[in-house]
Amino acid sequence: MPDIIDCRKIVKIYRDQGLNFKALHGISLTVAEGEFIAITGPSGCGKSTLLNILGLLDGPTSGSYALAGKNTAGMSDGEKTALRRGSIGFVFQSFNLFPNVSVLENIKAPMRYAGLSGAEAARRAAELLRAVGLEDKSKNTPLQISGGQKQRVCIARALANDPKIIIADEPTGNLDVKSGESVMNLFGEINAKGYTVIMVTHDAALAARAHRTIKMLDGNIIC
Amino acid sequence: MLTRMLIAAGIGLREILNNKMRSFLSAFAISIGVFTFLFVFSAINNAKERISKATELGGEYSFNLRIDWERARKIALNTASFAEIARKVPEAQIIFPVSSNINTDIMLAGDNTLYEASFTGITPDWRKVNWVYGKVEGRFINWDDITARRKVAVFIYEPLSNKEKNYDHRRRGRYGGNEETKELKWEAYNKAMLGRKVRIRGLKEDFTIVGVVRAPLFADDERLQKNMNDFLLPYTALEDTFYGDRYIEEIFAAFKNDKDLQTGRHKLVNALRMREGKMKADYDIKTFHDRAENMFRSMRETLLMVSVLGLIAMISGGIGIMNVVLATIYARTKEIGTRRAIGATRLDIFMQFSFESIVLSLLGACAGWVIALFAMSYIADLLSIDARLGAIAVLCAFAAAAGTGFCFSLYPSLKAANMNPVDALKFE
Ligand SMILES: Nc1ncnc2c1ncn2[C@@H]1O[C@H](COP(=O)(O)OP(=O)(O)OP(=O)(O)O)[C@@H](O)[C@H]1O
Ligand SMILES: [Mg+2]
Repeated sequence: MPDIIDCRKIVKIYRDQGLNFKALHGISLTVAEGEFIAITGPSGCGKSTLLNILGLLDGPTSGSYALAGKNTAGMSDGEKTALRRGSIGFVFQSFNLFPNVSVLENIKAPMRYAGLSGAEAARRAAELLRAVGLEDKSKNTPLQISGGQKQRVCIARALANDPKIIIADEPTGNLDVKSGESVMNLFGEINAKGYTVIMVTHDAALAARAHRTIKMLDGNIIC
Repeated sequence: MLTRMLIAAGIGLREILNNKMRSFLSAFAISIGVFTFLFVFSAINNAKERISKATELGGEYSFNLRIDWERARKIALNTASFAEIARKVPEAQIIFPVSSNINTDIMLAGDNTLYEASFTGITPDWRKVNWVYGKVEGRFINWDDITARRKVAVFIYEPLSNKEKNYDHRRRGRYGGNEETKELKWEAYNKAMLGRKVRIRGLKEDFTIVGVVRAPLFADDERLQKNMNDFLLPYTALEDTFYGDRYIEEIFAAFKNDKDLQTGRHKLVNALRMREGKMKADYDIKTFHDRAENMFRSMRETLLMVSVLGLIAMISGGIGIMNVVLATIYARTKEIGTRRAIGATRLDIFMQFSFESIVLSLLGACAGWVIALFAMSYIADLLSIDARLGAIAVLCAFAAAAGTGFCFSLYPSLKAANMNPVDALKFE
């Protein structure tokens, strides 16, 4: 399997009103296509910082990051956005669904940004909803469904543009055990279909279901 | 690109619908601004149109010469001596004495009501200058009437404007007369006037109505003048019955071109100076251009004021929209971050918010247009300005509103577009 993610010596320094904080101390990491990775570590160790860089939402202060063989250093914001849109899907701890529109519209959004027509996007969104078992909720708004269901919608939205990688920052953090369990099962299914999954979690039991667990401490990977 | 714009427009529109009250308030000032814009634009356009029409009508090379009352007595110009003077100005295509308007009470034969009426003396040339008056029922005053000094009259039938129809004509006449008089124009609305005899207060001899003409509504009158008369009488007959010791105080003359006007004016002034015996005497001469200029001047002041108000409304509308969009962005920071994460570019975010404000301002413009459709004529009446809505004005107003919305949303939209997605996602 080729490496879909190849990070070398990534350093992230937050500059905040003259104060510098080194959140990542030169992290090197490779992820093969189709892997299911769990990242764990104490609060403030830099897990989200790393995910944001892997997700092209933020750039490293130094170090190199190649995504699917493409070096991302020196890419413009537009190029990064286009790459992110096509190859990365995000699942958020607090779901981040658009509250005023239907579940279906939420799933359509990434496809619309990718240039798909409304009808095409709706067709695929309906398919994805069926895949996450929520075909009967397509017309509901996010306010009318449960937390577990919201996270399923969020996963469906992350899959919309058929990305290679799913990045999830504490996807079960806001869910009860049972919903968390079913969301984890969904991640397992997705991974089985060939998607690469990178997930941050505090729960050792959930982390154990990944192929590989990466432990972080103070901006370093310790194993 | 088009689909991206559509997406942005769709999100903007939905947001407006989700916040109806807020949207309404911010669009409100814009609607007032658009309305004033429409009003000013239409008024200016209308005035321009009318002046160019009036010019076309051949009034361009004409003037009115006025002599004040005391000097008029000295010059002692009457119908007979006027004819002499007119012969000295062969360049004039039309030249006639303008009689003043006379307002008094009259009675129609077979009707015991007193009416207020006003009339003026004319020659047949009057029609050449005032040809916008409709066709004559019966006949017009002819040169025979003038020389024979016949007691005949032409009644001017004037369609009532909306404002006048709503006016209580029974109690107050046009000239603020006493309560027993009625306004003739109103009463004559449904009466056959042709052939009737008119008794004018203080005169023994009745005048016979030999013709009826229809006056244009002021709004349709390209000559920029309002008809003040109910009756036209042969100038000579008016002189016999009314003038006594009064003499011609005003002369109208029209020419083929400017050169003729200059020589004609020179000759006329000289002839009058001779009669007055004062070779340096000056007369108050108002050319067509003076008249147009005059009309524009007073209008310009009103319009300037209105436009300033409109501009203020537009700017406050713009600021209102800016405020709303800023508040929206603050409330939707997390959404902005999420949209960036799922693939929206900076441009997408920028368009989303600028579309929202453009649509808001266009809604405001629609409201302003609707206000204009209903209220324009009333407000125009109120300010004594003639304004009719034109398609170009509407288009320009919509463009101006969209432009205002866009300009005032630039700052907040750019702010939204340039947000760091990570920070935006962290925002709670
Ligand atoms: N924008 C920022 N400016 C300054 N410091 C920051 C910023 N974002 C994060 N940090 C710091 O970087 C460190 C790593 O933060 P990060 O959010 O990656 O931690 P985390 O491992 O995800 O923690 P948690 O498990 O609590 O989510 C923290 O100490 C945090 O205070
Ligand atoms: Mg975190």
